[in-house]
Amino acid sequence: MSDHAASASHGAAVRHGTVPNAADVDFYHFKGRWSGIFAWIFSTDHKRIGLMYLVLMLTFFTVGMTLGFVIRLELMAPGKTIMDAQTYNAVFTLHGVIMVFLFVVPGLSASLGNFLLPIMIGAKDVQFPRINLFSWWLFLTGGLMAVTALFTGGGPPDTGWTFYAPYSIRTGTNVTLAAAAVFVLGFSSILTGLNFLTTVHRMRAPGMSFFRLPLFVWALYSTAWLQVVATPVVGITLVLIMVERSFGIGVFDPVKGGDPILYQHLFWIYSHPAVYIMILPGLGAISDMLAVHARRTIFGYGFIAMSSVAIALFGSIVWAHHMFISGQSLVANFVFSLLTMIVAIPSAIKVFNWVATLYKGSIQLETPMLYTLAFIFLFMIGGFSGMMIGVLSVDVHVHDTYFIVAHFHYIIFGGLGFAFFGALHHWYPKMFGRMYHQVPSKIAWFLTFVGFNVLYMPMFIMGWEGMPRRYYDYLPEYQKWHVVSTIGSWIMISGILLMFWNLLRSLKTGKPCRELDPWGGGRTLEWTVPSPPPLENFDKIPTVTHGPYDPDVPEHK
Amino acid sequence: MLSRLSSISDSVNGPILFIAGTSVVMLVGITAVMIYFTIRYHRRRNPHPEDIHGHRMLEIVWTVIPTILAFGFFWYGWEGYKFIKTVPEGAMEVQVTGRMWSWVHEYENGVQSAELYVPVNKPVKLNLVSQDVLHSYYIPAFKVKQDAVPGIPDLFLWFEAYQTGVYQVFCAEYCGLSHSAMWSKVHVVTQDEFEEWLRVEGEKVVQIQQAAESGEGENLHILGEALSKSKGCNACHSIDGTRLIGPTYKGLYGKTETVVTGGQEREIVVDDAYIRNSMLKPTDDIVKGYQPLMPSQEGLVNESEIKALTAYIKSLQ
Repeated sequence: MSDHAASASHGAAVRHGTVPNAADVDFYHFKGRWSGIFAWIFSTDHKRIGLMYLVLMLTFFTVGMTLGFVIRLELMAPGKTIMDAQTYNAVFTLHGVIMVFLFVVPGLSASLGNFLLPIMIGAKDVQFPRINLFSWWLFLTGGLMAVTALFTGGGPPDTGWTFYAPYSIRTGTNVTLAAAAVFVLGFSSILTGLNFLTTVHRMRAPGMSFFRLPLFVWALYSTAWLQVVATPVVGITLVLIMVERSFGIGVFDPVKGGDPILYQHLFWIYSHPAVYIMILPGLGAISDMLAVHARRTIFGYGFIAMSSVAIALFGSIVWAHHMFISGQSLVANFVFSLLTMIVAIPSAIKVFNWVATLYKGSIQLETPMLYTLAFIFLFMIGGFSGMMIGVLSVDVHVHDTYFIVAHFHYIIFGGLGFAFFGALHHWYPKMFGRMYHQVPSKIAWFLTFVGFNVLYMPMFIMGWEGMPRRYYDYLPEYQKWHVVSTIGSWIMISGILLMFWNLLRSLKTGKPCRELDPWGGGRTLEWTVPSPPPLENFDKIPTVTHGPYDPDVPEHK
Repeated sequence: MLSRLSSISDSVNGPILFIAGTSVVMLVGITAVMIYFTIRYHRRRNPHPEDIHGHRMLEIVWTVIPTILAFGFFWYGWEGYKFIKTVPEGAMEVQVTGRMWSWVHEYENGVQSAELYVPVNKPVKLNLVSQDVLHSYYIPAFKVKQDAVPGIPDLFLWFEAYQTGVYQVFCAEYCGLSHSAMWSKVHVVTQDEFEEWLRVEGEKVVQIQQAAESGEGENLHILGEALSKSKGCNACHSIDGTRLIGPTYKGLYGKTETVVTGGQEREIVVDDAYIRNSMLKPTDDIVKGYQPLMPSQEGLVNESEIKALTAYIKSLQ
């Protein structure tokens, strides 16, 4: 690896006219105003904030995963297995709320996005570093409120993560505080989006035109628009739920003259784009990982970049496909089913271009590459099953069954989850200056990938056979598939735990890895700065002269 | 899996076969190419990569083909959906009411039942309403489903069953504690059997009325027991003292209860008037420690039925 690193370092010198000063301390060792934990929680450095998000999110992920594990245990057998119905309803609600609002929505964007975005565009930090820190504090506050909701009031919420009215208005559980938590988390998301938008528009290095942005940045940029535009809607909706619960004003409850369908519209106007907020950064990270590990330029860069924008755009106008059997009009169903089909097209374009990027590459199956290939496979299954449920007549049958549960786990977990794990390994040496241990990381990948399919594939079959979702108890005929699925969850979770253990252990025992570009194929700007980067990333702001995945000496010109 | 048990089956089976078939071919094909490239262009075999920036013709091809497929899928599904939403002339209508956590089916002659009885080979239209929160009427075997939404009166589904038998009904929209227990059955029977069933049930309605009017206690509580089952009362009220979502019937009559009336706690003795009011205006007096979840039964029980149910509760000491 070191010879590649040397050549990359040489290349960087040619490109930027400066040799990174070895005496520069990295951002971990920079002595600022604060020390100890305060050096973190009061830091406005985008790298520290990104890592703080990472720590919080992985903590919440572990909690959410434990809840998922408990759900699968309960469903091993019909009837009561380990908990009663009320507890089960609370557990799947919390699993959804935590995974959606505390892990996948902030997701890659707030954690690795924060760390990498400024470096990738050649900036010293984001445009508003203090607001960035404030976003993290809001995230922490929202997360703590959500946790508090479990132990106070009338018990943990039992509405499902969708908070559908009128049930959410009538239940005696602690919905108000949970909704308030999501409201606060929404602000964190909006501010991060605003920050990233401004940063991409205002802080690109000289020569870094929009079409020289790495694809991860394109994806973060598209995501940021969604965060800013869509999140306020869910904020308002949840305020209306709180007002209705507290003061009895009839907005959504028909007994008081409200409209429950209105709630569903308002909820999904945010929460469908939120699915793209979750997945888009993953799509971007996949493109970057492919280019590095195949050591070649991206096939169809412009098409992948524009498909991110198209997904963000069309993804914003398909929300009512969650409501095909809710009782909305036939015209609405026609329009929303058609628009849903259109979103499939940019997703397909991405997949084709990714596969073509492997052509005539020089592929090394490093762990991030394994996650990337697994991602493409799982994302395709998620996408194809998405086409099925976007089609009206099929949705009449499979709506609100395990088919849907399988579909969105393939997209969100198989998609964003695998992209996230891959990205963690891919940028691990850049963030920590050490390499993870290779062998356990590959075993962990294998267990996670196999376990994932054993866990979620049976859900497609169960769903098609009519097993409704959010069921505490079920008919014995479904048990065989539930048992397979539960066994899958054990395989997958052991893989994930092995991965976490390996990544944590490698912080101390991993091989020191100080090369600028440990992969020997990195052409974007983060591979031209030291690992870990110094406080302000660049000694001197670089001047960009070519596309993000082109070699330093452009051969094609 | 691709069974053809109702008129709706084809509208679902056709599109899913078409889409799943196309998907499997594409999934296998793309994955195979991906694996081939990964092996063929592994660094050992291909140490020197080639930078290829794209190919306009390829981009057009793989934009146009998915577009055509996507529109094809959509259209096929839309045609099926139009069929699902078009009720044939002369369909038999049944009113279906969902509430936490049971379904009630009401026929044109006033008969009510917890499970649905329909004649084979005859279109049936179910008009769906909800009394409290969202529910969804789902018959997996017939591949048909529709939400019941409080406040929206004109929601429906229809089907024509092709084979006699008993089929499962689920509630598919999450509705709280006993969501997974909110199920029912569809009994598909011959036309003759159906008419016989309807006649016998109709006579029961008359029996209850007569028994209530003549005040025959013995008979009345047995009729009340049948009513309590068919109206789904026991989903929330146990008869053996178990605490469910509502107070148990066992030992209820004559008991002194602490209730919350308009925010104030007070003590009452459970009598005929209290039970009657608890059915028609359940939120007036909420027994302390319970949630105000019961929907009003106004229009769903008549006076004779109230008397029969009260007699039944009285008998459970």
